[in-house]
Amino acid sequence: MSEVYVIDTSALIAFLADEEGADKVDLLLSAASRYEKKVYIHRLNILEVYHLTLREENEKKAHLMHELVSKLPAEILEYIDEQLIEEAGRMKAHYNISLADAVVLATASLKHAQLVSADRDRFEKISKTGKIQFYWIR
Amino acid sequence: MYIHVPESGEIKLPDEIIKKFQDKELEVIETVEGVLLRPRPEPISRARGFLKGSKISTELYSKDKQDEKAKEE
Repeated sequence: MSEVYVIDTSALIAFLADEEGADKVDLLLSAASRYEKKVYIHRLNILEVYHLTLREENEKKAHLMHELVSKLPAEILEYIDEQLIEEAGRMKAHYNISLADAVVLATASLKHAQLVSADRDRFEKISKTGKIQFYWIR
Repeated sequence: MYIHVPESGEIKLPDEIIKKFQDKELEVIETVEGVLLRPRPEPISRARGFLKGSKISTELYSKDKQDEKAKEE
């Protein structure tokens, strides 16, 4: 098992809302702060949480959430480069998934990382292929 | 300084350590040399639960994703 992890939107929300599974995300981030594990979060997944927070709460809360997540001991991935475009494009075409899901899956694939997620239902079909390793938080 | 670990597992930290870290969450880390107690990194404790009690949840997010997919189809 690799010691590299990519956190998806569902796991990020579970952590921020302190839902079931938050402990597992917390432990991964703690290990990352000690440089024992590498954790990535793509800015696109933060965007999904930002959008939800802005819509359901307010701009101030969304901004503060963004600031707090940016300070976590995870590497925030800013770019969608050529390799990611092609891998995410393949994922989207193959599995009929959203753009954000395709980007997070492609990121996990390219980083040879485990995808940290709370969303077994949505990724069930993909997890069965064994192409991406999943780290379920619940 | 040494402390005894009883069978119950409950240990009493020295007073000066308690004073310094009172009301803080300490992370217990087993290292090659022994056990390390350190305050949980602040960015993690500040972010965890930040959206607790708000309308944001993984359930709402899942519903959003389903609606998004339905719109695309």
